[in-house]
Parts: sequence; structure tokens; C-alpha cells
Amino acid sequence: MRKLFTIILIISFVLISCEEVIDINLNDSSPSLVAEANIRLSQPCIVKLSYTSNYFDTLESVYEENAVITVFDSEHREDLLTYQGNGLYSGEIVHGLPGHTYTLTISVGNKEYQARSTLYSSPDLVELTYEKLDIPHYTEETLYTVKSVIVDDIFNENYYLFRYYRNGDLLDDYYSTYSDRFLDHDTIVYNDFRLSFYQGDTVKVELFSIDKEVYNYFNLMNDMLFSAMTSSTPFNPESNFSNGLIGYFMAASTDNESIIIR
Amino acid sequence: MKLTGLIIILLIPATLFAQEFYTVSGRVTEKSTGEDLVGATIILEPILKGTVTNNYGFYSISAEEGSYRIRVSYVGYETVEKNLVLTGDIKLDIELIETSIELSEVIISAIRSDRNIAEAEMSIDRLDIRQVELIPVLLGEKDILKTLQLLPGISTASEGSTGFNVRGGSIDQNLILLDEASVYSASHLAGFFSVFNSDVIKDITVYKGGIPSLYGGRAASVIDITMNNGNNKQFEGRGGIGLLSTRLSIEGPIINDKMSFIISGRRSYADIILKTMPGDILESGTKLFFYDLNAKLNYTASDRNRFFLSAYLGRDVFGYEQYGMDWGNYTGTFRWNHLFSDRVFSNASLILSDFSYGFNLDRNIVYDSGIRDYGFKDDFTFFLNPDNTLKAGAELHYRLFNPGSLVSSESSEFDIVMEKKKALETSLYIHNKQTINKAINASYGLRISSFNQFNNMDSSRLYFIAEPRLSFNLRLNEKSSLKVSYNRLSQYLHLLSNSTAGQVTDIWIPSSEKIRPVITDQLATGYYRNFLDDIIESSVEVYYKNMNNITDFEDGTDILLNENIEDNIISGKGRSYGAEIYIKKNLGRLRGWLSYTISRTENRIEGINEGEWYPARYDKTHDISVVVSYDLTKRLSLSSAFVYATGNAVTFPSGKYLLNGKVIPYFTERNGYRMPPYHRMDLSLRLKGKEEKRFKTSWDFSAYNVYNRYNAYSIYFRKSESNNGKMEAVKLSLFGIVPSVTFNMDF
Repeated sequence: MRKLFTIILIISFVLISCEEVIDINLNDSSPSLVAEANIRLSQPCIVKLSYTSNYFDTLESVYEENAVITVFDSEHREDLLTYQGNGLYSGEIVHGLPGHTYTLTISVGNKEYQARSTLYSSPDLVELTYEKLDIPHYTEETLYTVKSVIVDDIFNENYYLFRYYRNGDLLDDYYSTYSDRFLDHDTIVYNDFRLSFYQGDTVKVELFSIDKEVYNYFNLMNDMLFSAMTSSTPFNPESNFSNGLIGYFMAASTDNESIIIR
Repeated sequence: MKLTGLIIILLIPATLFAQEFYTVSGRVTEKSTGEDLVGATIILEPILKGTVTNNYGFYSISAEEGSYRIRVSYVGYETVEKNLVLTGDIKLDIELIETSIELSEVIISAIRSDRNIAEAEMSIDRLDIRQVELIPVLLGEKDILKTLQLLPGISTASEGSTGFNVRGGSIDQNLILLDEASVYSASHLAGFFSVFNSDVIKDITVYKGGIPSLYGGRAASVIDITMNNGNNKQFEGRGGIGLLSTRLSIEGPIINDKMSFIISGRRSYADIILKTMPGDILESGTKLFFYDLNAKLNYTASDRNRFFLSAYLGRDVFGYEQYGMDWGNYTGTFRWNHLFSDRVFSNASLILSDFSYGFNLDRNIVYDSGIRDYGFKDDFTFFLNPDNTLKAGAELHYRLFNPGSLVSSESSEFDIVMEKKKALETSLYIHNKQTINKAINASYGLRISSFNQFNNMDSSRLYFIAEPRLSFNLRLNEKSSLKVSYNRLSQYLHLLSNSTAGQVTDIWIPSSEKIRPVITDQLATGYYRNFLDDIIESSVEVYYKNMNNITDFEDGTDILLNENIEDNIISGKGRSYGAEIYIKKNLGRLRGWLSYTISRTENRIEGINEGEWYPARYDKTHDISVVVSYDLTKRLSLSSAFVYATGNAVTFPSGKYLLNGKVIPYFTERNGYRMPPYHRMDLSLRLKGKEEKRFKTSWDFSAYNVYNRYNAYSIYFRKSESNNGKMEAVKLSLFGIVPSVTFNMDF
């Protein structure tokens, strides 16, 4: 009797859950402007302008080549970015300095978009450590989690963005973000349980010190990229640009460390 | 307030107790078990005045002095007729005998009922528990909530789920009552199974509209579930072994005809089976099961006093080494029925209900959230005269909300404890059922509720809401009637949920200064017609519903442990309208129903979809269910259920862009796309064992999704691995064909 139940139970569960690639018709969308704008410590401002395309299109990206882009720092130094091709614009005069707030203005046709972002001093990523990840999983291999040890400035609110590389490849499924709003420790140990590594992996962590608006943007981006899993409604993350421009303007300083899991 | 005036005027003639009437009253019970029969019809001939038994099997009917014939009938039972001479008040208890379903033709004339066209109430369904048992379901777990989803106007929240939407209402707008206690989370195992064990359930009544003022607190529907009292004549047991769970219930008298009990348990055992299997499929230390316990005790102290104690406890437990998760409800109801006179019935209830959810990350970090509800209800029924039955009462709920706390036993530094909230909801109601003349009868009333939180004065606000409830029935002829109803419902509880189907992590919060109570107004009308001597019932109903203060979240809102959650909640309006067609055959060898709903549900919330109307996630244009049971022989019956529904409204990307080298989807409109249509057919075969005196057995063989259609549970997008970086859509399906077998026994 029990055998019969067992067999049917196994059949039932084997048949549960399946994935299949399907054809689906999505509406065309009119192209909207997307900006990916960065200014890093001691470096000029770099902006990439492209347009959204229909979701299933495989065509090359369409770039905006005729934009007028200017950046100001807190001391009103101005830089007019020049077009380099492939949608890329770069500045020359204004370089990223800690404590400055940068104002970026993009004019395309008769539309103008503006964003501001503040550059903070370099974060201090002291070291990486790893340990066995002790959560339920169904692979034979042992999983590891990588911890980042950061020396934090306890007098100010700090916002961090992490990017991870496994054996040189950027892991771009989502972003790790962290803020020290609720803590006043001078050493922070941060690990993202969603990421796990195997023995032999070389793990590189790139740490960005960012401002609150950029932090909010990447947090929303994270939620949106994750929404498919939680079945909540997806959305467009709200940009720090005015006037409905998609994308972000991020002033940031960085630090990085690597470790090999043995 | 004009409406209140109207009601008072209508009530004046009703309040005059006419003395020339005498009363027949008593209880209608089932002969073999002594169970109260809820909703049995009592008719006095030749005046053709009628009434129905209440939740406790009690009836009271008055008429002038004279000779009458009283006819008591209940679907599935032999009708009893008696002659009586009214020269004074009479107490008459009646016992009915169940007819076996197999004996088709003979019984038909005896058990037909025209209640659906005779009564003023509309948009009501009473589920026959014996029919529920035959309907095929996932893994053979009989489930009343899944059967409900096959009725018109009620749709499934997501595949295999017990969550449901009623006429455009969200899943938290359904008031699910188990012996008067509200069950706050009615599902097990990620929503696939309901907490109601159909072995102990006597009666299920669903109100989708025209809701009597006795009920309140939720904005869309009422599901009133009554547990069996327990056989007061002899001991009896019932049980079953299925793929997912085993269940057993025992009932019997403690004092013959005076006191009886029922106790029932159910436990899933996937963990036990998997553990005994070779090759560690489930590692030791893993816990994965749910259980339910139901118990009820009743005591008839005298002709005038009865007491009932009901309890339910159910939990899901999931654990792996030091990680663990568990959640569940417990409810308890103590009730006292008291007859002040043959014409005044009262019931007082003390109610407790609790839902809690918790997990521990390791032994010393513990999260918990939940809600507890202490309730008191006092309900009076005045059987004023043959034409008026007046109900009046009060209801009080004191609720404790725990929106979540994360506590570490090692250090309190990381602890996040959300402020617990307390709130009081008080309601008063009055409702009259009146036969105005031969052609028109009415059911009308008013419910007034108030609500406030009282440990948090800053965010609290005192609300008063008056809810009129009206329905009228115009009897066109013997076979058909026309009904109209209007009702207003309010809801002071809000479920914070990121999903449409409902999850155990969802959090209940009370209305506050910022979050205003949901108020819905519904207008419905319908045409009802019976065919073939009431064997076939049919109806067409149309409704329009307006919803105020429905809520959603700002993009990217964290629900868990978010102290500023109220600032992230945005609210707006909703509207739903539709038509429902229902054809039902309750009797004979071939039974079943067909239901078809065409509807539209839309929301408009500032900050979403640029402030324009957009379809709700659970908006389904077409929703069809066909349920058929056929008795092949006395011992063998075949049942099938077919469902078809338009896919849910979803948000898909219309565009994409690259950011840091990664493809990011770009969305243009909220819920602007549709999932593929959903359809599925289930089959089941019940084989009854040879009848022996004290032991009955049956086997249920069933197959869920017989034609193995992979219905879309969700659709997501990814970069194709083969096709040169092109994006592709991936459909995730949960269940293909799922066979199951269940063994049942009665002893």
C-alpha cells in the first residue's frame, strides 16, 4: 500500500513545474532617451546616450549623437562634453573631487534634462573573507559567501554600491546596496546571501561610495529586477534626472579587493 | 440619512406584535445524527407562508388560529408533512431523513426547492458539502475554497491557489468565518490547500452581494462556514488516506440527545514518506508538514438554552537544521443560544481568532508577525408576525496587530520591532425580512460601524460608516422572479501584500489617519428562473461595484519591517462590473452546474499608470466553469470540472535599454498585457465499497489537468543562450497532469 502511494507521490511531484520558451507579442514602444552618466574621483565626466528599443529587437543600439551636455561642479567650473562616437560623450576640464556636487545638463532638440550628484571620498574596503554558506541547497558542491570588511565613517550617513566579479566576469543579475543609516560601527562586515561562490573562484569586489539618490535608484533597480521572482508588479526605477529621462547620473569614488576561495 | 428614515417608516408596522397570531417553533434536525439542519424550508399550507431554519436549525412561524399542514423540506432529505391545529403556541421539532442520491426519480418530487426564486436575498450560494466531495481537486484534497472558485463571480487568484476574488474585490476583502470566527489566512503550503477540513463542515454559504446587515467588516464577500455539532445519537467516525494527508474524525454523544462532540484532525505526511525512502531525498532534520485540528462541543441545557464551544488549530511547519518557519491560525468560539420566547431567538458569541507567522534564521534570530482578534457578538431575531422577521444586534472586535519584529537573543542592537497596534471596531445592525404582498418581498437593514486605533493617537482617526443593505424580490410567476439589491460594505483592515494570491508573510494593518477604510457600493439585479419543477435553477445577474480607498504601494516598497510603510501606501478608486450566468441541476443521476462570468475590474490610483484607469491584476474578462457529476451505478460516480478563464492582466516590458552592459526592461503601461488564457479539466471517479452495516468505504481516483496543458503560472524574460543575445519569453508552469488516489471510510 505504502509503495503505491510513494510511487504516485513521486509521479505527482515530477510532473510539477516546468519551463518553456514561448512566443509572445509585445507592443512597440516609441524610443525614449537613456543616459548612463558617471563622474569618478579624479576623472572627467563620461556620459552615454542611447534610445530604448522594442523589447525583442536585436538591432544595434541607436545612439543620440547631437546632444549638448554640460557639467558644473560646486565651484561653478563648467565643462562642455565632446562626442566620441558610439553614444559616448566625455569631458576634459572638470574632474571628480570629493565634496563637490555636480550638475549635469543634457539638451537634446528642445528638451533639457538635469541631474545632480555628490561625490564622496573613497570608501575603505579593507579585506575580503569567505565562509561556508550554511543554507539548504541541492548541489553537491559547497557554497561560499564572501564578506566585505569596510571601515566606515560613523559621523556621516554613507551609501554603498557593490559589484562582484567571478573569475573576471561581472555578475550583473542585480546590485548589492548598503547604507549605514542604522549603524554606528566603525567596521562593517557586509555579505549578500543571494550570491554564492565555489571553491577555486577568484572573487573581486568593487565598492562604490555613492550619494543617497543614486543609492535609491539602484535599490529600485534591484527591486525591479527581482520583481519577476516575487510576482509583484515591475516598474521603471525612478531616475535622478528631471523630465522623465531614463537612467542615472552617478558621482562615485571606488575601492576594490580580490580573494581566491581555497 | 433619508434612507434611515425610510427604513424606520418601513419598520413601524413590523414592531406591532399582533396578538391574534399563534406560533409554531422548534428545531429541524437530521434523524440519524441529530445535526441541526441549516436553511431547511418550512411552509404552512394553505396560506403558503414560509420560513427557513437559522444557523442553529431553529425556526419560528406564526399564523392565525386554524388548521394547517406544515411542510418541512431540505435538499437531499425526505420532505416531512404534518397536520396541525393552531389554537395556541406549538413547539414542534422535526427530524428529516437523508435520501440517498442514487435513487433518482422517486426523490425528485420530494426534495425540490424554489428558495432561489422565493427569497429576496440575491447573489447567494449554498454549497452542498456532498457535492464538494465529488469534485476533483489537486492531489485529492477536498477543498471548499477551490469549489467556491467554480461559482459565477468568484475567480481563482492564481493556479492551484485557495485565494479568490469576488466581483472585483481583492483577496483580503473576503470575510471567511468558521463558526463566526474570522480566519485571517485560510491556506496551507504556499496557498495550495485550504485550512478547512471538509469532514467537519456542515454548511457553506457565500454572499457576493445583497449582504444582510448581520455581516460586516470586509468589502467584497462573506463566506460563512458552519462546523458539524457532532452526532448526539451514536458514535461515528470518518477518515481518509490521501497522497498528501491523512484525516480522521470522531463524533458522538456525551449525554444522549443533550450533549455531543466532534473532533477531527488532518496531517500532511510528505516529510514522513520522503524520509523513509532510500537515498536521502529529504535530509534528516528537515521538517515539512501542516496539520489541522477541529473540535466542537454542544450542550442542549433546556428547550430554551443551548451552548456551543468550537475550536480550530492549524499550522504549517517548515524547518531545515537551525532554520525554521511556521505559521497558522487558531480560533475559538463560545456561543449561547437563548429563546426569550417562541418568537425571540438570541445568540451571544465570544470569539477568539489568531494568525501568526514566524521564522528563525538560526536559533537566536527570530521574526514574527500576526494579528489577534477578540470578538463579541450578540444577535437577536424577532419573529414578529408571518410577514416580518427582524434581526438586531451588536458586534465588537478588539484587535492586536503585530506588523513584524526581528529580535536577536544575543544582542539587541540589530533588533527591529515595529510598533504593535490596537484597534476597536464596533457595529450595530438592524435588518428586516418582510413579505410585502404575494409578489414582493424585501430584505433591508442598516449597519453602523465605528473604528479607531487607540494606542497611537497621532496616526489614529475615529471613523463612522453607515452601511445600508437592501434587496427586493418581485415574483413574476411560479417559476421566475426579478431581484434588485444595493449594499454598502466597509473594511477597516488592510492586507499588505506584494502578490495577488496571498502569502503568509503578508501583514494586516488597521485603518489610520493616512490609510482610510475601504468602502464599496454595489448595485445588482438579476432574473431567476427554474425549469422542470425546480430541478434546474438558472439565473442571470448583473452588477456594478464602486470601490473607494483601495490601496497599492509606491514602486519598490519593502513590506517587511518597514517602519514608514504608511508613507509608501497610495490609494485610489476601483470599479468592477459584469454579468453572471448560472445554470444548476442539484438532483438526479446527473448533477452539476455551468457558470459564466463576463466582467471588468479597473483601478485608478494617483501615481500609477499616470493616473489613468488600468485593469486590476485579477481582472478576467471571461471566466467559465462546468461541473458535472454522473452516477454510473449505485456505487460508481464520475465527476469532472472544466475551467476556462482569460489570463490575468500583467505588466510586460514594451521596450528595453542597456545599462552597464545589462539589458534592462522598459515598461510603458500598468497591466497592459494578458497572460495566455487558462483552461484545465479535472476528472474523478468515486468507487464505493460494498455497504456493510457499520462500515462504509470509498476510493477516489482523480486526475488534475487531465489533458496535461501547461498553463502559464508566470512569464519572465531572459537573454537567450542560443539565439545571439536576443531576449526571449519563458513561461513557467506549475502543474501538468497530477493523478491521485484517496481512500475514505465511515464507521
